[in-house]
Amino acid sequence: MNKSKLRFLCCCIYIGSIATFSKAQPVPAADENIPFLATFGKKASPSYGDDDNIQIFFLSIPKTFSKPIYIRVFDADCGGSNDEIYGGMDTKTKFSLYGGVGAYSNPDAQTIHPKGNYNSGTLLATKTFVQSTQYDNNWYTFEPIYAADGEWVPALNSQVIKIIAEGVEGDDGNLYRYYFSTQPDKNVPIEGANAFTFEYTFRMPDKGGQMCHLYPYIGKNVVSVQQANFDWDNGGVIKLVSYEKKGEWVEMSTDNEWKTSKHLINSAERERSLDVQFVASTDAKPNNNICFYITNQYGEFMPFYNIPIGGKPVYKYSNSLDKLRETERFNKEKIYKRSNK
Amino acid sequence: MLQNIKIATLGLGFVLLMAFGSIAATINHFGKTDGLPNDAINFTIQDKDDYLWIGTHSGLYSFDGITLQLCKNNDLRKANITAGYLDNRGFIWIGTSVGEIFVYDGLKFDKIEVPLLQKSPIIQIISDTKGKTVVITKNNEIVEYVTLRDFKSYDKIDAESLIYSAQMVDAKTILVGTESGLKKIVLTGNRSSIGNFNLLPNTKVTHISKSNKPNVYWISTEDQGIYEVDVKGNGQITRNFSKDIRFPTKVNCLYEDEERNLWIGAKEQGVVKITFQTTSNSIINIDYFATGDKWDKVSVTDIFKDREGNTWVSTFDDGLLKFENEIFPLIYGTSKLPDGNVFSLARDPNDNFWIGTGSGLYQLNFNESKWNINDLASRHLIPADKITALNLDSNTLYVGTAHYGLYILNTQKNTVKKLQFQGGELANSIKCIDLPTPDELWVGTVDGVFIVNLNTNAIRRITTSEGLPHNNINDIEHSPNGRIWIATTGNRVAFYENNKIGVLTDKKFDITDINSICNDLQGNIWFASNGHGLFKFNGKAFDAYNKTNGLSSDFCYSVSCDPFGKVWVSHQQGLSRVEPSTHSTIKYVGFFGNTSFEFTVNQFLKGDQKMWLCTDKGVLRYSELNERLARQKPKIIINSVKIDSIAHDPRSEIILPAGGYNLTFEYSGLSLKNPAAVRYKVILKGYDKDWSQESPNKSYFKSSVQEGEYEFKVMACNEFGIWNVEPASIRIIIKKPFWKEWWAISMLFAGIFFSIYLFISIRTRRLLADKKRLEDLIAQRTRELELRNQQILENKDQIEKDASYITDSIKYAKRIQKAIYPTISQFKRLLPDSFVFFKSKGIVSGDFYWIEEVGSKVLFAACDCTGHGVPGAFISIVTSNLLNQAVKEHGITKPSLILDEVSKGVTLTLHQTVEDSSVKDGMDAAMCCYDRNTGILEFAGAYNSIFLFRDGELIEYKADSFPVGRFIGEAYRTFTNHEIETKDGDVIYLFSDGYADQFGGPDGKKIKKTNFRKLLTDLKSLPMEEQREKLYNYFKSWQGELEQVDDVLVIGVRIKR
Repeated sequence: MNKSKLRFLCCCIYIGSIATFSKAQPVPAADENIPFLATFGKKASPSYGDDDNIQIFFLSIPKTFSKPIYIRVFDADCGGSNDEIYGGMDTKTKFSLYGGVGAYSNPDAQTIHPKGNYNSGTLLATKTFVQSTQYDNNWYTFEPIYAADGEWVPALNSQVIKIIAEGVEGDDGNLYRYYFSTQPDKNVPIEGANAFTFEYTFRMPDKGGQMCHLYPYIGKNVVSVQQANFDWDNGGVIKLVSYEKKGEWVEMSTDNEWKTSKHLINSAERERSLDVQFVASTDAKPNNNICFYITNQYGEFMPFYNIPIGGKPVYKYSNSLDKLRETERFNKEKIYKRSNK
Repeated sequence: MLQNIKIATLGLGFVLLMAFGSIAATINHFGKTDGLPNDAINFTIQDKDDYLWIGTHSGLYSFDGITLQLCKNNDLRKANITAGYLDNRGFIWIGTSVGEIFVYDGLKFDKIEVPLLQKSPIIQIISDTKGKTVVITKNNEIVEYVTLRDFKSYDKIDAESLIYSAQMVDAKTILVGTESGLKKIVLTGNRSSIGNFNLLPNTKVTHISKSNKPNVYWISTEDQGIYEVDVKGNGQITRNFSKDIRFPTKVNCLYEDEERNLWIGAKEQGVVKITFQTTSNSIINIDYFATGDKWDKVSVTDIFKDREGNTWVSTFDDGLLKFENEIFPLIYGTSKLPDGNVFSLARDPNDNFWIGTGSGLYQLNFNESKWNINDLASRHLIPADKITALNLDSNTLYVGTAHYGLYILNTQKNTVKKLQFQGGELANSIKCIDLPTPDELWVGTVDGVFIVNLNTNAIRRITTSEGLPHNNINDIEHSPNGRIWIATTGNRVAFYENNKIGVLTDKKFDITDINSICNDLQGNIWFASNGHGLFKFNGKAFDAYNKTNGLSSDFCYSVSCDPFGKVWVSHQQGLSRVEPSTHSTIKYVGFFGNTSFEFTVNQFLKGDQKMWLCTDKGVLRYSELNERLARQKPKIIINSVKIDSIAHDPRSEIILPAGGYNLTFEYSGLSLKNPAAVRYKVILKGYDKDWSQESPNKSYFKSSVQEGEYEFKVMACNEFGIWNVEPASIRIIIKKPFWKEWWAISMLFAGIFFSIYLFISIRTRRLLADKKRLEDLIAQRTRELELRNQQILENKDQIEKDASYITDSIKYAKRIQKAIYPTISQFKRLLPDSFVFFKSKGIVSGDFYWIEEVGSKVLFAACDCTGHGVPGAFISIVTSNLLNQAVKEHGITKPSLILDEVSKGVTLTLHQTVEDSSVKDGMDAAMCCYDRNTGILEFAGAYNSIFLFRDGELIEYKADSFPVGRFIGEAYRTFTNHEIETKDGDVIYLFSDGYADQFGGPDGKKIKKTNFRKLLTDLKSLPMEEQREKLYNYFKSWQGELEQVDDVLVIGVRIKR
């Protein structure tokens, strides 16, 4: 095993051990303040905010959890009041659950641009949603699955289920949420479980001035990270906050483009989560969908955990005065940029 | 929005239906407390021995109706069991969530090879028409098994399609339910291709269930409800319940039973059962088993009907439910009505059911996509009165009320016309309605019969004035021959014929108080009476059925005949069914679950082809199929056989070595309907004489069973007392110990015989040898004897000459001896009253008697010299001479001195020395001296005593214990002299030992002194000569043929003073 993989493995083990103390919550989580996940039909333009029409999430569950697990999708169909419609409502979104060998461990599954065998593993359940009032603003619950149906991943010390949302037809955007529950008709968290993804495609809140968060975990061997964001489209500011970083701006993309920037990580920031904040400007346009991922210095994709490992990061000097200064600095920078366009 | 409306309507419907909600069927629940895991139950199936196999998420369980047992196979104990199937050989196939298959042959599970590309749950195991078993996985792989080892796998169909249910349409076509609708898989060679049916919406098909109709299947979907599909050709939907708000839209499974009831297993909505008309698709009733009870949120995973007609509902996390087979399911429950008693029932061609209750008439229709329950009283059409009679003629329903007369209802137009009869309240208290002809309506009331001409509306009346037995009319029934029968509370049966009233009575039976009349298929008329049972009239005579010959009760409220010829009778607490052809009766008491009903009216509804029964709590419907299923004989199996606590295969004969064994048999007769009611009878043939009494015990134990051939048999009966025909049995042979085997016994006997033979032959050989030896010896001795004989013969003459010479000498010696001794006469002269009994052994004698007189003294003695014959005679001469010498020469008269003197003389005469002590001759003597003057008797004796009898008493005077005669040098001993004063009459006896020593008698023994004494005691009083004679006779008789042992001498003297 090469060193990078070994490092990644150690990182995962650490994450996995901590993750056992978590409870799977909704995805997106309340802390993330993200209203919806977004997956567009395969005919949709990437400029709508979805670069690949596929969103893959993983659910890690403790092996000892023996009760049935229900994967619930809120507003799974495409065509209701929450979704982004272009022309007619012709979009079909397929949600599929995978388990068994290869569901997680197949390299194609852990990529940000799903190709090849990204739907590896044993198909456990699938449903394709067309426009339907039945599931508009409503929950659809998959048939129960069990931890044993997932793939055992020693590095995570968990059984892992893969959930793929794929826009198989149409050009509309399906906005939805997940809840991983122990009940078929209620949202009851699963103790010890956590959800994560390697690339987040989501919708910013329509109301300006809101802040969304993503929490990638920084392992102990990470010295720098490179963020990549797609189609931010001047939606506001994206910055990194950590124990050491008060708010380090990243390179922000415009419409239909990827932008990357590298950021150093010092020792105090390692083995903690990073807070990637998406701060919408007050005059931000609605329906802003964005894709985001982050890699370490080895180019390895770092997972975004639904429940931040180690808790939400807080800048070491964080107080109300700093926050005020920060806001002022932001506004000044913004004015500067606008005036220099 | 639409969804909400549907839910609201559904809820309203539930409320409306509450008035006619059925009382819950008898439902048994099995859950955690019974041993089931607190987990999903995926399915239930029944094996050929009637055990239920329950596949759960946490293992496979078997169930005999009472006890749940986790499967013993280690692989199946904790596996997620996803599929189960009973093949045509009786093997159970079990599939798991990881693509494994186990086959159960009745004894154990065997894992078989399943060639899958991917470990995927086994979703269905089915059989095609050729008997091959087809296994289908969720991830659409198909394996076809010809035998357990001979299989073929088909190409994987579609990587992204999941199969949730499947049914074989034919040998090459499988109907499958996928997440995107209903599809068809065609098997060709090793390939399988999938095609859409395009009938249903693009939604997940959760279950496909075969209908009783050919090519028709029921399809349930995840969220689009239920469809009935005919798959012939391109397929078509024959029924669509998806938009029917009465039925759940989220359905997990469906099951159509043989009675064409459709059971719907919903997601989070429990169980719904649709009862269809037997002959059409009309819905008679819908039962919601989730409404208002604890199964409200139950998610059903599977529905299965067992061999006895019980329906088993598997649920996701609420265990297993058993809906007991109901022979009389309650279709419409009326217990929530103000007065739920049902008195009348009708069904019109528009599928409306009309129920006449104690609180009005109700119209029920379940066929449209909504409930239609009309309470005609609330619409002010017909009063909320007891509806006593209903009669339907096409679209006209005639309604009789208890108080308000007759109503005529047009069922199509829903219009009502009231008809009241003149005569007040009684005339308008309707009891029955009949339509003998299309033009005439006959109405029975409390006050007679009203006949309404439907064309002219003219009404005429028949009462007791016209001949009716009573005006209170219970029933009117017309026969095919035109006669109209009228049942009254009177004591005769009336009929109307040729415009006249006739009556029927019977001498044998009391035909009175008839409640109901019906015709049967053979033209007989049946009368149900109130307290006297049931009567059948064949036109000539009556026949009676009552409690004593099988009827449930003699109080019969309603009678009707079904098209199968069976006559149904309603009683208050039950029913009876009479089979006229066999005169048999079946009682139905206690057949109605947990509810007790009071029966009113029974009626066969033609459109439905079923018997309906009205009761105080609603309307029941008889199911002949359910009864047939419920009465199945229980299957009996022997579960285990333990010999001394060691389990043996219960299926095959057991052979044991010799010994005593404890046998334990465990068995079970399965009746899932009422397992606790199963009874058993057992017998151990070869041990028990007869079958045991029936009991609920499920085990049989016998201790210390010895060698023999045994057969254990067990039979079981269900709650109806129906026994299975063939008992379950097992043979056990306990071998005999080798020594009891015929060959061992034979060998033993052979051995014994041989031993005996050997013994005999050896002995015989020895005996023969001895015989020969003896014969040789004898021959030799004979030769010797012959030689001796020759010598003896040669010496004989000489010996005879010598013997003659000796004998002559002895005889001469005797003369001399005789001359020496005194004679008897001399003796008697001196002692007159005396006797002398003297008998010598030989010619001469050693004994002698002696007597002498000296002055007034008489001396007499009895002497016994040593030896007898010649030696004794010689001694006697010596001693006699000495005696004479002592008395006569020496003048001694003292007996002791005489004996002393004689003793000296003997010693000197014979020169006996101590050195030469080998020969000691002498004399025993008893010497007496009687002084006639003084009467003193002196006595001295040498060894010989004397007896003295005085006054009957015997006195023995003992002699000295030494003889007369001694060795020279021996110490001198003197004799003792006894002096006796005699009395007159004393008898004295002197004797030698010869008399007492004589052998003879019966035993050849000596007389002995004791007997001799006794003899003398007996003789003492007799005259002396007589005594002598008696002594002689006694001696001779005692001696018999034996030789005289010794000389005999007895002297007796009686003293006379």
